[in-house]
Amino acid sequence: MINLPEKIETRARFMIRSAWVTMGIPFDVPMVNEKREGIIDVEALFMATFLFMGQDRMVTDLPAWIIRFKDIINHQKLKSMFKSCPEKNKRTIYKNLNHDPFGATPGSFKRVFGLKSLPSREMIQTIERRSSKLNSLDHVAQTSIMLKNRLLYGTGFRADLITITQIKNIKMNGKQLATLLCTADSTISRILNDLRSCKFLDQDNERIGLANSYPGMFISTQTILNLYEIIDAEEFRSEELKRDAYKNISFKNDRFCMQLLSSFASRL
Amino acid sequence: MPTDLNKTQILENLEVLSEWLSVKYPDETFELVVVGGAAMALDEFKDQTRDIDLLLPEILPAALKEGIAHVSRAKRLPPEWINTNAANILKKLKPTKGLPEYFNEISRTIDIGDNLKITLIGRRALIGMKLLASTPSYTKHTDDIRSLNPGKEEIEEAVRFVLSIDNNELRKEDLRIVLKAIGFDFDKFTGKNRN
Repeated sequence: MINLPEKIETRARFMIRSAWVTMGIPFDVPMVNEKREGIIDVEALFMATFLFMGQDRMVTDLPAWIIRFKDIINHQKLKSMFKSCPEKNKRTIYKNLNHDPFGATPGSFKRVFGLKSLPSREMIQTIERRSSKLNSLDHVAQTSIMLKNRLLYGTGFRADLITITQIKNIKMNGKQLATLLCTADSTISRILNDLRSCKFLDQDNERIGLANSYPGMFISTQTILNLYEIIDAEEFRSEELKRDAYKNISFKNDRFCMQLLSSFASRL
Repeated sequence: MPTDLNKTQILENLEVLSEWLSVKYPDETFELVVVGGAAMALDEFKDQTRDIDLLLPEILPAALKEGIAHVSRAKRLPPEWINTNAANILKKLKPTKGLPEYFNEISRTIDIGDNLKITLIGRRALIGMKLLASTPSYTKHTDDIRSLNPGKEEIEEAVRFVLSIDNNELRKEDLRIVLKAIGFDFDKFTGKNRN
């Protein structure tokens, strides 16, 4: 159970909905403009959503999105993110996903979270109705660079790494990139070698002739780590522990938490 | 950065550690066996101590290591404010017949929180460990033994323990000086007359 001050939770939910607008779910909030605010890592967005999910339209619209876009979800990455999640947050996620509509999601998605329920016929109809409201793949490919690259290069870490290299002055080594993409160092090392061999990247893992750059990450693995830290910080009674927990938060590759906490500056 | 901790501060810091562990590892429980100055401070045999020496666990589990580091930063304590140095020394020195039975005796147990319990080592083991650490040139441990006000039999047992670990002549000479400083005659315990 997440025990955050209501203001933080409400703000987080608002920002998560904004990110989903970028991914094509028509919530009544402004979308995140990746060119201005940073790239959204889809799987990290899933994790953030599942941590804060309430009983709103997200519960039906997200399963509709998962069904529609199942081929461009990196299930391996999602599985790694869920696996590395602290047990108590895993329980929160499991509880939040234990709604009827998620029983309608594809087996590949349900297996990641160990979901077993099956949806009612009524629920399937509701999800189908919600599905018709989603933006088209063509549209989503214009607003989400990560999804666009998955359409170009296939749903895998190669596409995601290419996405990350569109960040200007990324200055990250292989190990840091592997952590950011929640995968093995060896996977990233192999792809980096390929990309350097074909002169797509220079020796510093920077894109050669990068024209269409992004300012950083809006939501990434770092966001999820920061959210765990914030959740824990708010559980501490000791002010010293709370302060130390907030000091551990790194905003590199995480505009989400930067914006989330900027409204509550006293916590920083 | 404060260097010495009194009984209240030891307990307060352990409470913070317990809180950190309960938030980060809510399903786990931890037990520490405390030896040395911290055990003495908690039993009010001395006012302050620099750190909390553990006899158990010999190797700190990752959760505890992490918690100790976080509390150290949060409370501005030295990084090794809880450490296993005493356990490591014992492991390295390996007493010939293993540790005496009385190392399993405890003085008392303190529940710091639902997830963290500390056990203070028994008096005989405490005196033995203090005598093992004593040297003529560094009087802290000798002073600690004096504060414990041990009886003849307790010192005799402690001498037997120290010699089971290290019975070379240099150690015996050190023991002779240390024991003299606290009013005991080493040679009487070993049945040996120097001359």
